[in-house]
Amino acid sequence: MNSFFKKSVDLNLKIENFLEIISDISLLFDQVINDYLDENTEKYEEKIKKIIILESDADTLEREIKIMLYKYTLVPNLRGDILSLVKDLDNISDMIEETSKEFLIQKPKFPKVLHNQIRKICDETIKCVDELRYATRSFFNEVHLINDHISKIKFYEHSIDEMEDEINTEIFNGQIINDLATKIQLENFITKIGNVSDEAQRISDKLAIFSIKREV
Amino acid sequence: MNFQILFITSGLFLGWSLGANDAANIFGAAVSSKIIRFKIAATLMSIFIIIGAVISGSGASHTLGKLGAISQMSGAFIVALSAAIVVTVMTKNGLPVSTSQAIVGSIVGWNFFSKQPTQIDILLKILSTWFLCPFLAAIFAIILHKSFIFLTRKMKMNLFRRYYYIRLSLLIAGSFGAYSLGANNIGNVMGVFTNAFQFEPINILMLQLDSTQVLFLLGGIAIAFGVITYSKRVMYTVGNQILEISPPMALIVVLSSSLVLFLFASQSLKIFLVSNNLPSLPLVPVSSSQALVGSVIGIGLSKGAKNINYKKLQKIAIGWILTPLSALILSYISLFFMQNVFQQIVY
Repeated sequence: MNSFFKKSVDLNLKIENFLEIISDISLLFDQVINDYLDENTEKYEEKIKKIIILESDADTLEREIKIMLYKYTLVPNLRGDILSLVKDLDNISDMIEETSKEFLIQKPKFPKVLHNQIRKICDETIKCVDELRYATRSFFNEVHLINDHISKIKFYEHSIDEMEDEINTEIFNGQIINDLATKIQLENFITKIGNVSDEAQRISDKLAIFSIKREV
Repeated sequence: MNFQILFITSGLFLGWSLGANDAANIFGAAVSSKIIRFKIAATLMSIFIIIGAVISGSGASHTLGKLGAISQMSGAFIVALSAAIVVTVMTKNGLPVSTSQAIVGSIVGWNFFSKQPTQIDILLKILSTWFLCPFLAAIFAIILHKSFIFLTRKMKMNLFRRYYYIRLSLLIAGSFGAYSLGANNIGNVMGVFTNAFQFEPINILMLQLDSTQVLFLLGGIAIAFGVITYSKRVMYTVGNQILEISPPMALIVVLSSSLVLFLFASQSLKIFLVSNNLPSLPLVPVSSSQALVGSVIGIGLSKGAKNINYKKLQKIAIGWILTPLSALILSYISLFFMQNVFQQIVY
C-alpha cells in the first residue's frame, strides 16, 4: 500500500513537472517572439536554445511517464487515456519548438504595423496553454472544475482565430507587402502560431470526453 | 444418500445457472472494464457465496418453505427442475427472468397440484418484495451517489489514488455482494429441498453444519461452479451491454444492489430492526438483476436524468408475470407426469 502511494505521488509529480515544462516553453515562446520583433537577436537565440533543452526534458519525462503507466497495474482504459493525453501535450511543446526554430532559420520580416497584433496573438496563446495546464491538473485532481478551464480555452482559441484572420487579411490585402512569396511565408508563420491554440482546443475536447467517462 | 443426491441435481442445476448468470450482476462491470481480473473476482465470489449460503441462507429460504412445504423428494426435484427450465429457456430467448420469481411460480404450482392452500399473506409478502427490491436499490443508489460526489469533492483525491480506492472498494463490495447473493438466493436453489431431505450433520473447520446447512453448502458449491465455468462469458457479453458505466458508478451499483440483497437475507439485521421497533423487511429471495437495474435507474435519477428507460422497467414488470406463470404451469404439468407416468409420490 505504501509502495502504491509512493508510486502514485511519483507519477503525479512527473505529470506536474511535465505540465510545468510545457508552461515554461510557452512563456519562453512569447519572449522569443517579442525579442524577435524587437530585434534582440542574442536574447531570442538564447531563449530558443532554452526551448530546445526544455523540449528534450519534456520528451524524457513523457517517456518516463509512459513507462510508469505501463508498470502500474492501472485500469487499461484509464492508462490509454492518460498516455494519449501526455502524447498530445508533448505535441504542443514540439509545435512551439518547431516554430521557434523556423524563426531562427527563416528570419521572417514582419511589417511594423503588424507587430502589436502578433504580440497579442502570442499573449493569448500563452493564456490558452496555461488554461490547458489547469484543465489537465483538474482532470487529475478536481474533475468537477475542468469545464471552467475548457470554456476559457475555447474562448482564447476563438479570439486567436479572429486575430489570425485579421493579420492574414492585412498581409494579403493591406498593400503592406508586395512580394507574394513573403506574403505566403508570413501567413505560414501566423498559422503556425495559431496552430498551438488549435491543438490546445483539440486536447481540451479530449479532456472533456475523458472527464465524462469518469463522471460519478 | 446417493438417491438423494440424484434428486437434488435439479437444484444444483438451478444453482449452476444462477451462478453463471448472476455473478455478472456483482462483478460484471468491474471485470468487463478490466478493473478486476476474472480469476480474482471468481475466486472471491465462490468463497463468499458459499459462506453467505451456509451462514445466512436460512432466513430467506424459510419464507419459501412457508409458501409451500414440499415434503417429498420427487416433488422438490420437479419444483426446482421446472424453475431451472423456465430460467434457462427464458435466458436463451433473451427474456427477462429471475430465479426467485421462477421458484415462487413453481412452488405455487406444487400447491395447486397437491391441493395445498397457498398462504396468501406469505405470497403477498413475496410479491411486495419484487417491487420493493428495485425500488430500494434505486433509493440506496441515489443516497450513495450523492454521498460519493460530496466525498470526492471534499477529499480532492488524486485520480490514481481514487482509482486505487475504487478498485479496493469494488473488491470489498463485490465480496459483500457475493455473500449477500449466497445468503439471499440459496433459498431459490435449495429452499424447496429443506423439508424433503435430511442429511447427517457434518463438521467442517470446527464448524458443525446441520442438515439444511449441508444442503446449502452443496447449493453454494453449485452456484460457485456456475460462476467459475460460465459467468465470464456472461460478464463480457450481457454484463457489458447492461453496464457501460464508469468505475465509480460500478461501485455504487454493486454496493446498492448488495445492500438490498443483504436486507432481504439477514436474520440478525431483521432481529435488530424488530427489537428496536424499526420497520423490517421480509426475508425473501429477490432478484439481483432487478436490484441492479434499480441501482442504475437510481444513479440516473440522482444525476437529474429525465429520460428513464421505461422499456427496462416494462421488461421487469413483464417478467413479474411471465416468469412465475410459466414456472407454475410447467411445475403443475411436470408433477402430473412424475406422479402418473413415473409413479412417484410428489406430495
